[in-house]
Order: sequence, then structure tokens, then C-alpha cells
Amino acid sequence: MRDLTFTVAAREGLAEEMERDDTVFVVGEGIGERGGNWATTVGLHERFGPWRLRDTPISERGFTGMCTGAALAGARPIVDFMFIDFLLDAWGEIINQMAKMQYMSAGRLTMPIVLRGAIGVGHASATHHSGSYYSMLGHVPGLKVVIPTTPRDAKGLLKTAIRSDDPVFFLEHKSVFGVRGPVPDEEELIPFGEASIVREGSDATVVAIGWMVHQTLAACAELAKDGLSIEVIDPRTILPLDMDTILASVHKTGRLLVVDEDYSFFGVGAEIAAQAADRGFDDLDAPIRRLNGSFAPVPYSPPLEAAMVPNPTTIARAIRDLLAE
Amino acid sequence: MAVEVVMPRLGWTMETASVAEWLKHDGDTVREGDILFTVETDKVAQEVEALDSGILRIPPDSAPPGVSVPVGTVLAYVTRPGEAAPFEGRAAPSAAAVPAPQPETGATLAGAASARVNGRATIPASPRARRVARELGVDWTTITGTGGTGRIVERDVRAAATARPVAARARVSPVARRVAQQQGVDLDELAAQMPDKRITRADIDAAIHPVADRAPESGHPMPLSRARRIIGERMVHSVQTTAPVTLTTEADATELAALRERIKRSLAGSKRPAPSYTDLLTRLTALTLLEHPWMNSTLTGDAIVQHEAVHMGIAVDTERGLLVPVVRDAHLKSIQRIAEESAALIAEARAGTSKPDQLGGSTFSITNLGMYEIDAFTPIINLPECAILGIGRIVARQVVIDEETEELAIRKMLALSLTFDHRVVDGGPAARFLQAIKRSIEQPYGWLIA
Repeated sequence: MRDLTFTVAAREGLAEEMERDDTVFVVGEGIGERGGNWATTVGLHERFGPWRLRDTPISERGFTGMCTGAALAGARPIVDFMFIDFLLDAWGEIINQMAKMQYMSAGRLTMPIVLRGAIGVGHASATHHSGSYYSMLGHVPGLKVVIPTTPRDAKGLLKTAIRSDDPVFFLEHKSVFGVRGPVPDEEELIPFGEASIVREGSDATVVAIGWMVHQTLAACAELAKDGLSIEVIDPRTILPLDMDTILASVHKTGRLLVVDEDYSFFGVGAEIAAQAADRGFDDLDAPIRRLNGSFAPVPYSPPLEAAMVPNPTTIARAIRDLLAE
Repeated sequence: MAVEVVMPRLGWTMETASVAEWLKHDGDTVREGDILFTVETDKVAQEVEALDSGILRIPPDSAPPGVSVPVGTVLAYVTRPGEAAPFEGRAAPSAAAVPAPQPETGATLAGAASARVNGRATIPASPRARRVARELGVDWTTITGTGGTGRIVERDVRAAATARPVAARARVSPVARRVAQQQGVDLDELAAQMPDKRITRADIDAAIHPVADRAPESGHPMPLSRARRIIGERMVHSVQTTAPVTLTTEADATELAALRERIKRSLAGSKRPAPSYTDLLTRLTALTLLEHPWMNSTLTGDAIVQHEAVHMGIAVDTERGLLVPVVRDAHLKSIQRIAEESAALIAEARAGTSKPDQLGGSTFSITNLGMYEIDAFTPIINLPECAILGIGRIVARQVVIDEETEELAIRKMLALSLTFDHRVVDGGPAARFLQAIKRSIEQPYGWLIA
């Protein structure tokens, strides 16, 4: 076991896969010599060369479409959007071509493409650079959506994503890059559709997405001082979504809260809540609650930005309110 | 939009008040200025006007007249014609009522939920609470909920389940439950001894009638049998609860004895059992009780119930301990019938096959130790009755027939002991009753034909 940051662990996984399969290549803005805005490819340009670490102009639709074609032709491209918000210029390529290609070709064509980018609020990145978008991505049949929150998960899930023949969105919250954690020495591939119980508890179940996993754990540490035992689940992949783990937890605790900085309307929490209310109806001792970011474009001003997303204090309060139900 | 009608502050220092009287009622059309109700403060009654025109709607749970409430408490609403009052639940919330994406506090949402609950007829219970209630066999509709909107949640169901006595939870057959109750068998204790067993009549019987107590070897401690324990507990309970006083007297039973002899001889060769002294005394006492009904009472809690029927308990000594089978309606049955019934009851008691109905429900009891040459004794009242008659032996004695002439005779004398509960009956009435018994014994023909 080594103690690595999320960034280093993910990069290690990328390097291993690029080493293992020379059809894997990376495309994006500043991912060559610069090593990526979030250090996603630092050192790889020296190691693997410009053919496999390919800088692009600011033309997301163009290079996403090209990567779609490359995937169809048998390569394994990785599109590094830098900020996931930039996928919007390539939305047509993503939904109409990438996601549907395998279906339209009756499986004769595969789409082994990984699209990664930084998500989330909290770095004064303002309206165009703070989005999450995974609710929209999760709503597209044909895609996979992965949101790791620990270094170990980052590496294991990125490797699985690169080896997958499906289009996979690999989303990294800006605040999670610096998280440190243990990473095994031996190779590990983490399958999609397996949630992780990051904290065991019995009084309530909290499902958290992305950076909110860490914020929730901080809240639970405080609540533990009052003897409250909260189970925290990180779905890790929201498409496919591991509802079985969540339902088993609700069966144990009877109460469910979803903490997601993305908006509540039509969000991941809405899907989890609806499934829990359906399949876990007789286990529910209280209404299902969601704690989300405010339904508004993300402000630039740091105090405003902080006020619009959940934090350990508001998460703890939401948990207490749920327990009072 | 419904306007709230609140308890007004009618004085600087007024904090609470009560509605004295509503002058307008739920559903009345009111105009601004109409007097709606009067308020009682500690100084004066004041009239309160309507500040709006519309329909007065008083919620069913509005503070009733005479009940003190804080100033500002909502008492009613004035609505527009056709408008529903706020306490009548709506079918579905309008789009505007959908909660904001980031609730400021969970409390806002909880508040919205309870408003919807107000107009509901049913008690809300979470799905999990209902499931657990099903599993534990708890009737959740009788529980008070501690959930957010007053709903019943899992912890309430579990609390109700553990609060039930074990006997309610234990699986017990209906017959077993009845016998246990009549015989004073502690079902909780029994259930605890056999936790996973469905308790049947056989188990109750085994508890009451274990294998006959072995005579203890010297120095060998024998644990109390269940029967012994139950008898012991009931005796102590009686002695400690009642205010027992025992009156004794002697009755001249010569005539009674002669009567019995004649009856015996006339029944010789017949299958019909001859009435025992206990049977004769049962009939005699039952009739006497009709004239002294306060002796035929039971005290339950704070109430004395005088019974119109006499159900006579007859103490029977069995191998396994004292049993008291009951001859029902002894005041209505002939001596013959009493004799037949008591013979059967006693036989069954001795055999240990008494049925549950036979062993309870007595209003008075008789205990006869005459066969053991006992004279007077101090029987213990069979609760919840208020008295018990102890019959001693009939023994020939020399008695003074006429004090004047100092005439003596040998008469058959019968010792009688009446223990009565001084909480229920005083000495005078009890003594009169015993005297009446004595008279009836000495002059048996009157009640014989009754």
C-alpha cells in the first residue's frame, strides 16, 4: 500500500494502461507538454511521446468527433476535457453518435472511449467552469458515468474505464484531486456498478456524490460525538447505479438522505429516491430527503459560491432533521 | 385566502384566556363587526368582533370553551365562500408548493408535511412501522407516534411491543389462558419458563398439578410445587388485603342430623347420592344469603358489587392441594341437584380433571373440616368474596336446654366459623348473618321447602 493523492493515483492508472495497450492515447487542451491543467498527464508526454499525448485547439466538438471516429476504427482514445463543462460543445457527438453507435450498428461497432474532466463547485470557477452535468449524462442510454472520490477508486475505476468498450465519463471533482489515500501496489480493476460503504452506521443512510462524500464524512464525525451512527455510501458509478447496496442499507436504517451538490431537480438524488421509495417502501421509516446545491448558475463570488452548496454543517443539520422524522 | 381568527390580547398583561361562548358557529356567514365569541379573562368577559366578512370556519380541534390558551392562538378562520378552510387537507399540492431545491432547514419541509396531515382522518404510520407492526403482531392504530409529523415510526412500534406483558406476546391457547386466569397461574412466569412453546391447557394443568409432592425426607429440601406456590400466594394476598374477623358460634344440629339420616335412608338403594352436610349447608347458606345480600358481595377496587345469584364455592382437599369448585346458582337448585353436582365436582377436583368453568366465579365459599374433628377455626376468605363459612364437626354434647329448670340434654352441636372482611361488612350485619345460619340449622324445615 502507498499513500498517494487522487491525481497521482489516477495518473498511475493511466500510465499503466497506456503501457499495456499502445492503442490508448489522450487528446485535449494542454495535456501534452504542459501535463494537463489538473496534472492529469504530467510526465506522460516524455514517456509516450506526442503521438499518444496529443494537444488540440479549443474545439471540443471537433476533437470529440475525431475521437469517436478513432474509437470506431479500433483505437482507445481518452478525451480530456479539462473542465467537464466543455463537453457541451460536443453534446451532439456524445449523445447522437458516441452513445448510440453500438446500438445502431447492432453491436458490430464498439465505442471504447473515455471522456474525463473536472467537475464541481468551490474554486471560484464561476458559471462556465463549475458544472457537474452527471445527471444529464446519466440520462443517456449507452453511456457509463463514473465519479470516483478516493485515490484507490480513481486508479481502479480509470483502468476499468480504459479497458471498457463502452463510452465512459470519468468525472473528477476539483476538490477531490488533493485527497490522499492508500493505493494497493498490485493491479486492481474496480468494476462498475459497485457502490462503496465508506462508513458503517445504523441510524440513517446517506448517499453522497463526489466531493460531498468527504463533506458528509466530516459531518458524520461531528454527529458521532452525539452518538449518532450514520452509514455513508459512495455509489462510485451513477450509471450503472448500485441500488442493491443502497436498498440493503435502507433496510437496515430506515432513513435515506442523498447529498449531491448538483441540483435536485431531475438529479441523481431524484433517481435514487424514486427507486428507494419503490423497491424499499416497507423499509422506510421517514420520508426520503435530498440535500442539493441551489438551483442557480454558480456565482463567482467565493462567499456566494460557498453558500449555494452543502457543507458539513448543513449536511449534519439535514441528517438531524431526518432523524427527527 | 383564509384569515385567521386568534385569541386577542385584551389587556397589557394578558397572557392566556379562554373562549367563554361562540356566538357564531362553524359555517355561519359573518360580517365585519359581528360578535364572533366572548372571551373570559380573569377579570371580565369581553366580546370579540369579526374583522373580516366571510364564512366562519372553526376547526374541530379548536380550543373548546373554558380551555385556557395563550394569546395569539388560532381559534378559527374566516374564509371566502367556496374556499376550503386550511384545516381541511388538500388532495395534491400545487406546483408552487414543491419544496425548493436547497431547503434552508429541514424544518420548512417538515412544517409543510404536517399541514397536509391536519385534515387527515387516519393516523400516519411509516411503511417500515407498519411492516414491523405486522411482524410483531402489534396493533399500530393504538400507538402514539413520535415521528416528525406525529407519524408512527418503527421505534414506537417496538416500544409498544416490548411494553406488552409477556403473556400477551406468548402464544397461549384460549382455554389455557382462561384456566390460568381462573386458577391464578402466572402466565408471564410460565411463558418465561417455556419461551418458544405454545402454552396449552396441559401446561397450565402441569403447573397447577405437578406430580404429587413427595413427602420430604428429613432434611431434604423440596422446592415448592406450583400448586403450593399459588395457594400460598392467594392465602397471603387474602390475609394481607382483607380485614378478616372470625365469628364463631355453635348451632344445635340435632334436627339437621335427624333430617339427614332420614334422607339417607330414603335414598338407600337408589343411585342418587345422599346430600352431605356440606350440601345441606350450601343450600341453607345460599337461601340465607338472599336475605343478607351484603354477605354475597365482592369488592373490586373501590366498588362493592352485591350479587343477585349465589355461586357457592366448596373447598375440596385434594392430593395436590386445595381446590374450590363452584356450585352455580345454589340459591335456585334443589338439595338433590346440589348433591349431585357437588359429588361430581368433588370427584373431578380430586382426580385433577376439573374444567376451567368449574373452578371460579363463586360469590361465597364454604369449607368443612368437621370430618377431621375440628370445631371452630379461622378460614381464610376466598377473594374477591367478602366472607367464608367454616363448618366444624357435629359432636354430641351435653347442653343446657332450660336454664330455669336446669334441664340438660345431649344434643348434636355444630361449630360454625364465619370469617368476614371488615372492609366490606361490619360486625353487626355479619353476626346477624351467622345467627341466621344458626337458626336455619336449628330449624331446618323452613328453608328445606323453600
